[in-house]
Amino acid sequence: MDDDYCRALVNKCLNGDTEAFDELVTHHQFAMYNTVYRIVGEQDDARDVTQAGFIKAWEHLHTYKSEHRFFSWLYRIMVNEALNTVRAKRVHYELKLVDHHADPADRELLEDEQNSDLAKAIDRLSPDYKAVILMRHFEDLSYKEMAQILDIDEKTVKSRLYSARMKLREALTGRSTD
Amino acid sequence: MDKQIIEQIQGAIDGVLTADQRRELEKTLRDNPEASALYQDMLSLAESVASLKTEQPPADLQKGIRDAIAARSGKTSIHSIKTKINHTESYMSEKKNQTMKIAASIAGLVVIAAVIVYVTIDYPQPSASDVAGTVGTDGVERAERYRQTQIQPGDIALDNAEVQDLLQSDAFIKLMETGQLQELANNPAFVELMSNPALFELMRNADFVELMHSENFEVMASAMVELNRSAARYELANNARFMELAKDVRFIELNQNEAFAELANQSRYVELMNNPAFVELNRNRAFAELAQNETYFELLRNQEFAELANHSAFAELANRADFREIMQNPAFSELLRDTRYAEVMRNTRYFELMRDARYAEVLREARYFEVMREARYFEAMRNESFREVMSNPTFQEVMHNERFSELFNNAEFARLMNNASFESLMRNANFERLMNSSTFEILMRESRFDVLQANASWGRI
Repeated sequence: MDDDYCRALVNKCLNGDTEAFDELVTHHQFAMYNTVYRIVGEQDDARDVTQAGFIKAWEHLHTYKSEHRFFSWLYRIMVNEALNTVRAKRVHYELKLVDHHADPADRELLEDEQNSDLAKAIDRLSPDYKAVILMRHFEDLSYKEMAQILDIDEKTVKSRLYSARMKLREALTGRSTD
Repeated sequence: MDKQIIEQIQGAIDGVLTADQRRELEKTLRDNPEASALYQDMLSLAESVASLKTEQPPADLQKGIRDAIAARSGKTSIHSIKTKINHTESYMSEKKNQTMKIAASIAGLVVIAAVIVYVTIDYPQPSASDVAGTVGTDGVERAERYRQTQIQPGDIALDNAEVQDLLQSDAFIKLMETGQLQELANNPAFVELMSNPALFELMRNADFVELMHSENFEVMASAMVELNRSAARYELANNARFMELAKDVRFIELNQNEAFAELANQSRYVELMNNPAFVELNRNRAFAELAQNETYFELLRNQEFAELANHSAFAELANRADFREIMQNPAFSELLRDTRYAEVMRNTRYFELMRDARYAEVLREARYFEVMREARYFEAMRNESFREVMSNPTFQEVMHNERFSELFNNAEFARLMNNASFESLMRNANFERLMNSSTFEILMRESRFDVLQANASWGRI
């Protein structure tokens, strides 16, 4: 879905068209849910946070500025919701990308995944570091977009990204950078 | 490792390097094994992260969102309200500077009033079948009762540009999001407040409107929204005197204090606010300054002080111009901020003294205020012995004597009061008899008494 089409849907929403918003949800829910899920680490929480994020987006649609990408605007809401949830609970979430699924069949499949160590290493990152890794490598967002989403400057984005990468590197290879 | 090399490696991984920068990095990687290892690790990491398994969203996610939005749209009509607004970027940018501050600062009463008026008067009420089985049924029925009020839809017009801005303000959105609006609309006490002509009168007042534009008011309004669950607050807000007071900037400042907000929720405070003298007192700048102090709030929480403040003698005192003048005396404010004085005021005996008709009479005398203006008075008030003495009937008699103020101004006498023996003396029945004797009064009236007071030996007595 291109940006112009998203903007057209947003305008329809602002005119009371709830189906237009439904279309926006259809298109974005996969990316948003996965991002939230990787930050909060629990499926139930991820569903609730994603739902809350979409509702918040609906209620604040009038604040969306059309010069920005709708994806980035929505992503920001989701990441903030997810980070707030993690911080509020003050629990170190399990990322559950690999070996914590309740379903044994899923577990077996995931245990075969070559990246289980990586998933665990990401899981152990702080929410802020986790967010930049997910944004950069899952959603391919630019530094500028990440900065806008997290409301920090690009320099801080780069710094967090580097630190997060170095923590992952150390966790996976045992090598550290002085 | 060199910071620039690290930045170049990260830039390469993220695909933000120019062709020249990439060539430069390639050369570095050939010559620097450490940099090369870092680059390989980061590249591998990026590829691995991107290939991690993704999850399908739950099947019921979209339905949940759809239902929640439909429910919210139906209950509050936020959507339909917003569609009435010609919402364009140019509109926002053109109006923003002018109206956003207004929209933010009138976050409390006016937003709520506008919405309540809309919900209870202007907005088409759902039929009984529409609300059957919903949580808000009872509230809607109760709100019906309050639709027969003096407020007319024309009091606040929703097509008014300012109200439209309000509906788009963060404060309004917050009310909608948190469900406070529905809660408020279902609260008979709040609806009653909204039907209070005094509130609307207040909102039409140019001074009050000006206040609403101030940052102070924003804080106060926010506090009021936060405190909307308090029955006492509603009662307070329905108080005509409170409305009058609310126009005063000093009171607005007072409302910024969290301790005050807490206090304002107490039924005792509502009683106090019913006291015209206390309202008058709240308008006093010195008192407002004092009221910013934690000690004062502790004092107000004191049942005895509340009783005192409701006492007619206190009301009379507080209404006196000379007392208000004293309130403006920085020394008096300082005294009131003194925790030791607060302790005095918490002392039952002091309250007895304050309630005492004779003491009230003393307070009516101009010379007492003259005394109170003196720094020595405050020094004396801080003195335990003097406070004891204050509640002594004999001493109260003495205070009626016109020489008393002169005595107070005497440095030696101040030192005497600070002497522990002084209290004993004042409690001595013989001394009491002496002071009550006509001889002593005659003595005090004698010019030689001035000479005596001026004598350094007098203090040593």
